[in-house]
Amino acid sequence: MDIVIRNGSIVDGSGRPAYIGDIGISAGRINQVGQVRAQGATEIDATGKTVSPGFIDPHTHFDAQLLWDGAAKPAIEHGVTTIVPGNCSLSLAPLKAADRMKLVGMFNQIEEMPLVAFEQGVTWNWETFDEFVGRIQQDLTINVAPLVGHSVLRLWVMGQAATERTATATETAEMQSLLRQCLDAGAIGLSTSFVDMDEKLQPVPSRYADHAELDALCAVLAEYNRILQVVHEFYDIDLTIGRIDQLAELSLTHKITTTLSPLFINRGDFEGVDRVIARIVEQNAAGARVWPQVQTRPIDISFCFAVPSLLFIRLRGWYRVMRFGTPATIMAAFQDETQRQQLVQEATSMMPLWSTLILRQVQTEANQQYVGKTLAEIAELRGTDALNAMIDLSLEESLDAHFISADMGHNDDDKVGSMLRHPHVMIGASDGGAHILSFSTYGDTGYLLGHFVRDKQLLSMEEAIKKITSDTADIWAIPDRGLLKSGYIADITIFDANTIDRGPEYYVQDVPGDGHRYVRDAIGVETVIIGGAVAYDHLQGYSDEHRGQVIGAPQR
Amino acid sequence: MNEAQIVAVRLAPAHEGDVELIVDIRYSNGGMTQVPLDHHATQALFQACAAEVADDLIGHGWSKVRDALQISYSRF
Repeated sequence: MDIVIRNGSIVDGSGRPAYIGDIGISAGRINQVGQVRAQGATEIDATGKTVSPGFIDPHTHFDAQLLWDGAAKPAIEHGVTTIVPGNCSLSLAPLKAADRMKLVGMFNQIEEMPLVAFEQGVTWNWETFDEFVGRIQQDLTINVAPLVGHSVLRLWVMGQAATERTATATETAEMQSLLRQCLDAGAIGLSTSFVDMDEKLQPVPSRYADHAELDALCAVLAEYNRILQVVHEFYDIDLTIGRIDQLAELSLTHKITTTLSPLFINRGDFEGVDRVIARIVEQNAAGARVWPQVQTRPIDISFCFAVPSLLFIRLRGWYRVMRFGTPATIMAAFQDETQRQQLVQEATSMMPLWSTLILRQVQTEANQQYVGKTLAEIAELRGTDALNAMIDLSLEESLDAHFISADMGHNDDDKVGSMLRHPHVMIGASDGGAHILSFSTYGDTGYLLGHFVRDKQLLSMEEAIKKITSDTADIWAIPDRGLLKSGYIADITIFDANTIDRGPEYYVQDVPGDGHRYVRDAIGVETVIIGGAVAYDHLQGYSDEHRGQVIGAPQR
Repeated sequence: MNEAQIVAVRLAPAHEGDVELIVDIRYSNGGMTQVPLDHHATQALFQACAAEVADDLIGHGWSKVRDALQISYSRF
């Protein structure tokens, strides 16, 4: 055996009760599960630890990061062994050289991936999906199941017209052919968006498609038994239900699996969420395969005074300044002693909110020391109160100081727990690798297992692990992964069920071009094995093993 | 038949960290619905209702919400 994991609490991903046992690994696959007599070249003592299949994250935007970081850090540290990039109609291939900056603009607008990261972290040496897969396969540590984006298919075939009109029959046929090439090269499915805006705040190309075009592309997905992912009008329950019906029709017509993301509670609208899930249950009972993705983590609100925010809409004086102000007049209002005093007085009633705001991002070196702290903490360091600290920092940063209010939505544990547990719900929508300057998109699995399983006991460990391993693998038609089973690929996560969690969010400078991002460390994840080799160990860090695969891609 | 009216307003977090305004609307038959408005639609609604603060919107008719949404969408 190459590796033997001994005496762990095995949660095998099937939902069956945990049991104490060993796992033997050889030639990259699980060789034995239960009692392993043979000695391993590497022996891992998992006494007191939980051993599970590696977690699968079905909604990420690691596309660009994979070009400079084949481990998609810090995903692996959180126990994730397979990621799905290319969501929301956006993938980095197929992409003609002439369209590169257009796509970079869309990634910047929609996923908040900094332009400088593309400029300094990406060597553009591909156009086709096959070439892109070849590019990311070099030094790949994590497994990647990439979607191909509908918007880029349109860009390739239609050029500028992709953002102007529906496709002709000839263009649709060309897109079908192009999609086949992508699926042959290893794409796990197709993603599309009904809501996103491009860099010019115009609808992304996929939004110009009519149903016939989407139907034709789904016919191709059916040839390959591949999935359709959509971003639906998540802000409107009735439109969401309309999309569910559309997806159900596509699913039934072509016998494909579809998934929509995100589904979350942001208005305390439990009834609305229940209506959505009820419609899904109804459609799936009729034979459709429609899976909503629900995220585990709560939603935060972020703002800075340089961009209008509705956060101040309940404060007459503040909103008057924000609403009619330019950056210069807002600065002037903050600087004017009388006006500032009035604003402070008006906002004092909301002091509990201001105190808990966290400073997310500043431009000056002098204020970097405060990033990640609450305004209450900053106020104490500066000898003032939270509200005045917010105004002072905004002035010092010429309004380019960013603040965040944590846990503002999707934060009712019982309701979210019941959604996560629901048999017709997929756990996902982490958005890993996106919005890197606004909040951390890592650690959702630790939050699931620590908060919802251990602390709140709203799901059992076996249930939760099944949801993020074998269920996900089944839905996405990912073969040989998601179970601790003889013959399966050895993607395994070993963690301490008593401590697993997501760590606090913090700001790091590790993006090409000296860029920053928000990340979270993992807590309690001890060892992560990918493709039969230790990829990460909590004491040793990352290994030099690069066993990650592009799932579905031909072996090169 | 009386026009449906705004009976409550509140803020909610949107998907990607923005804030949106939710207006609760009551129909003359007692039925209720809620409509989310982004920043642009909210600005248009404030203007139409001559509102200075969110609570000033209460009591205004549904058609103003519809028109504000229309103004926001027509940006594209």
